[in-house]
Amino acid sequence: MELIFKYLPVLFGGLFLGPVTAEILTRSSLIDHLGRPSGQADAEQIALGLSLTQLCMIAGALWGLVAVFRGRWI
Amino acid sequence: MSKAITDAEVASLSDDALMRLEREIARKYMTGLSIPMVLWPTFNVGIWLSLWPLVIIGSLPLWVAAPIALLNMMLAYLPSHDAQHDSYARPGERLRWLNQTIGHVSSALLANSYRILRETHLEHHRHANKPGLDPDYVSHSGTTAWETLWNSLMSMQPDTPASNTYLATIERLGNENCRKGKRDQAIITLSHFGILFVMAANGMALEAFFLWWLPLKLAVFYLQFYLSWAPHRDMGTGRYRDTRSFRSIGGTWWTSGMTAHVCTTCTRAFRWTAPQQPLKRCCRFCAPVKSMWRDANQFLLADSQGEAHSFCSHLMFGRVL
Repeated sequence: MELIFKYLPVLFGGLFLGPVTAEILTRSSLIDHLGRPSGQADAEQIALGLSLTQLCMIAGALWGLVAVFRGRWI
Repeated sequence: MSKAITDAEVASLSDDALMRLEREIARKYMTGLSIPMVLWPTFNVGIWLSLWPLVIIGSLPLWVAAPIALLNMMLAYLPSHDAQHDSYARPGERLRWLNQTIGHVSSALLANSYRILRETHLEHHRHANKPGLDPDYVSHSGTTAWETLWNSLMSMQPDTPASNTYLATIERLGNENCRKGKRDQAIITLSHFGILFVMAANGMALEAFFLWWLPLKLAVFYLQFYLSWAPHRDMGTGRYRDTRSFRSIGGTWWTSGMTAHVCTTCTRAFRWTAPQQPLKRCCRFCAPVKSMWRDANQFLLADSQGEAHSFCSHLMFGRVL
């Protein structure tokens, strides 16, 4: 249980912040700046064979890992 | 106000005598349960819960629901606070279950354990403004509004001095309620994040973000600013010294009545004589007390903080400042 709480920022980053970011990009016009038609980017592999959501989840988890070791998100 | 108090030579009275006068006033306000203070958390939690299905089925746009959710979060703390002080019902009383239910449910909205909030808040009252003992000291210690907001931000981080004060207090106290509180907090935290994760996994991350996570964070800024920093900043320690009244451009309502937060500090006597009375009646109690103290504190009228206040102000307690 302590391990879960210690690494909760990683889970939070990967399982929540990542999807939130991906949804903001796909449900707004921001996605157009990524060069993909709105609503289609998530299903496509946009980089490294990964979808937008997967990329955002990885980025979120990495940010969470940094937060675990730094003790701060910012 | 009774003639005895009106005519009292309050300036020459001892603290004990003043306390007796406060109790005499307080007794007059010992009435039944405050129905508005029961309806407040009931509607607040009910409305917030109803936002979720309404947004999910598309009956309510998220941009409309998000500000309502923020309001719900901002309004969630005071009922919890009243329950922390056993204001709805004391242990052993018939309506004790109501006190505890309101406390637990309102606190859960803020993703916090009621027991932990209660223990740390009572510790705050015991040691207000004392570094190392007051769990809210970090919130009070900002010298500017911006520093206070920064302190709030730091209290939301995974592992900073500001984010660890409640845990440190709970471990220092180490009583049965604290142990249960830690268990409760673990369950609430896992549930809170679990709900966020499940929503995100089902393509509703933004809904969860705008209905709970973001409103909660913004509410914490609000609560720490108006309910913690504003009434305690630049104050000392001791019953009549640790809290101040203040004026806000948003008025009493926007600040959740914290412009008169000194009432909650002054009402140690009030709690003794009318412990079941929630914050709302505290202000009614303070109005006549204000008259009593005003005579004793003419010399403080020049104080820059000392403008007349609708409920009460630290002016009236200034004799011992």
